[in-house]
Amino acid sequence: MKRGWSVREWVFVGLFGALWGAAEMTLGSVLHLAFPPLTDTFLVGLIMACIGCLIAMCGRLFVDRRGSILLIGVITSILKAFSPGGVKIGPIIGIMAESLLMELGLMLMPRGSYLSFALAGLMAVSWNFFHRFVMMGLFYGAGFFEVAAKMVRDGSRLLRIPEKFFFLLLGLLLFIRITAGVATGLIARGLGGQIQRRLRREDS
Amino acid sequence: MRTADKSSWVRILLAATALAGLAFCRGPVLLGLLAVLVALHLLLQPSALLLFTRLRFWLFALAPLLIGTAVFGPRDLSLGFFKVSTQGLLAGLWMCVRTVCLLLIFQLAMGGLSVARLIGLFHSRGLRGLGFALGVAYNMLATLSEISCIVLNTLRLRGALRRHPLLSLRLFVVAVVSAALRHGEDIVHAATARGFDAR
Repeated sequence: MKRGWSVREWVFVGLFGALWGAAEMTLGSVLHLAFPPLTDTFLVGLIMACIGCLIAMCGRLFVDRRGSILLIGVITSILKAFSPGGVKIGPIIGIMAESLLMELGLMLMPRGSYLSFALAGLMAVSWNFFHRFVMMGLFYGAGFFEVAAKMVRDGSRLLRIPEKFFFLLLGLLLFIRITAGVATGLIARGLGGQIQRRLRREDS
Repeated sequence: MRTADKSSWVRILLAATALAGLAFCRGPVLLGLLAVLVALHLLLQPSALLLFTRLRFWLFALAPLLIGTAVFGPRDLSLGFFKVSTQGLLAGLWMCVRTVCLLLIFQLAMGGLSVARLIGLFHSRGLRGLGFALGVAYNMLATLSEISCIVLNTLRLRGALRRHPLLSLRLFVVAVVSAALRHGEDIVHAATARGFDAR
């Protein structure tokens, strides 16, 4: 069994944390400005969650240790907290929750398999659905049904489905996130492999 | 240094307790929490309360109150020329207090901290690896921006962005991550040469 983390592993944890942090600080801020707050959690949150998961899961292929994604998430959160945009609690909670769920997903399935990456992506990106419940509860003390009703209102406007199909809308919003999560996990596994092959080719 | 470390941990602990309190507090109890937070700021970091003098802060903080008053519930209370809703006013007020509490909690946790101090804090607590990784990440940001610009310009000049947008996005990620990993290898060699051991 390997004991203690090597310098290379710590450097790579920092590097992937920096990549995710840079994406959050630049693209995240631009998207938050570009889209109105009503579509925020759905569009911006989903896009940022997918990008974050892609980077963190690629990182797992280079630091094959339990807890590496969680540490990448910690680094990203700290960078985000010290970003010029100021401290924003929402993205920080989102990043930590997503990295925890990715870690959990990768723990449940065989190491390095496409299935484990798909599950990790599914769990992490699905958090985006529940994030709103947590944040609205924390910020405004809103209950489950108030948040669900607001989510359905926003979803109905976005997907152009009448509000009376309450459960269909909620299911659809969750399904979109699940699909995006699975796709992100599979793409991350593929991209990571491609990067590893490219580096090997350059070395030889 | 030791005293500084202790104060940072105390701040983080206080902020975590206040955050837990905020999650469970409802109604007028929130005002008590707000008072405790202001008192803590006066005690630990009075300069942070300058936040209350900024117009932008008040615009942000009072927005829920104004929206709540205008949107929710029947308009049963008259304030001069305006008719407002008591229910909306109260709902907006608690939202407003929550927002201010949350801002103060984060100021309390992050106040007086910088990335350099945080790295020092990790080192002193036996988390040398995490401190090192954070240092690498913080110093890599400028390099990553440079690498991204170079890769993006290369793809643009070759016309890849216009002809194959999806493929060029994939190539962009692969090229940036590969170049960053190469740079990471250089950092590993430099740290090893200096006898750094994170174990």
